Amino acid sequence: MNILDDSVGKITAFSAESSESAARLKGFLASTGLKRSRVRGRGRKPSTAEIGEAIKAVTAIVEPVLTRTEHLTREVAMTLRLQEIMEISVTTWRIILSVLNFQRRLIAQTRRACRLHLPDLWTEEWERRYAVASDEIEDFMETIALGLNEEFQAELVARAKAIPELGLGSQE
Amino acid sequence: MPAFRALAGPGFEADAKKLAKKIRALHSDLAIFLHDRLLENPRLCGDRIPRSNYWWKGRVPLPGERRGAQGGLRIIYGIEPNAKVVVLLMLYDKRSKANVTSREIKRAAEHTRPLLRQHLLSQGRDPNEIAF
Repeated sequence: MNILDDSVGKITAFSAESSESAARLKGFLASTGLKRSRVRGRGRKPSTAEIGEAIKAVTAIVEPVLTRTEHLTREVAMTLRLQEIMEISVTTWRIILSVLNFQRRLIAQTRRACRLHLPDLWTEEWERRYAVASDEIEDFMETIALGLNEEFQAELVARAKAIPELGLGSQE
Repeated sequence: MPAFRALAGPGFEADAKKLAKKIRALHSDLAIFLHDRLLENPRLCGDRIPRSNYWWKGRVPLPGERRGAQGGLRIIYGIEPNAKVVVLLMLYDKRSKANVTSREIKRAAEHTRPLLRQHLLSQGRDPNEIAF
């Protein structure tokens, strides 16, 4: 599926997904009482069954968030590669930038909540996937933001004109 | 011999000179990046910048400074596939362009908000669902 097919729809879906994930995580933490203070020993120690439940519930929240983020970065990588033949408008670039910004915040919040309340459940594999996705998103955002910035575009043109071999000096 | 040869613009040379004052191993790190990676396969070293049609942005790691690609320098270059030339246009530290990018991110979010409201309303949903 192409990201340009329904970018606005995707943003709203991500928005809803975020609110849902946050609510689910909060609800789950409240229902089990597995808050940081309790896990750290100031309160009741969670039972093995509770820990098992926690692993299942947290996995059900975190896995889809990370997987969708990976799909999104693949779509954006492809869009950047194929932009020449796709004729993407400024509005669409802005939408893509918003989606990326939103997704970056979503995965950061998910990670923070898990590590704060259930530090033992946040796996090394999730941390690795988070780091890769977060790095890719930041890089794509940086590239798109530069492309949208008029001053930067003007600087590119001015610099290109200063290279005689490119033959742009006489062009307006 | 690398597959492409490099053509550096005057702006690029000035950038490199300026950055070399702060980054001691710049020349060797840059030479390794250009020789081993960029000039071998420039299309795999970066992403095309939107709306520029020609320019690409890549990341230059600085092992001499113990900085990886993420925290390294950014290089803007163009590819002339027929002439087998990579045009080096700009070199900068990521932090120096941070204001430019954050301004565009804010602008994009502001621009997208009304579109989302419209979309949600057309679906009979509450526009306050927007979380950003």
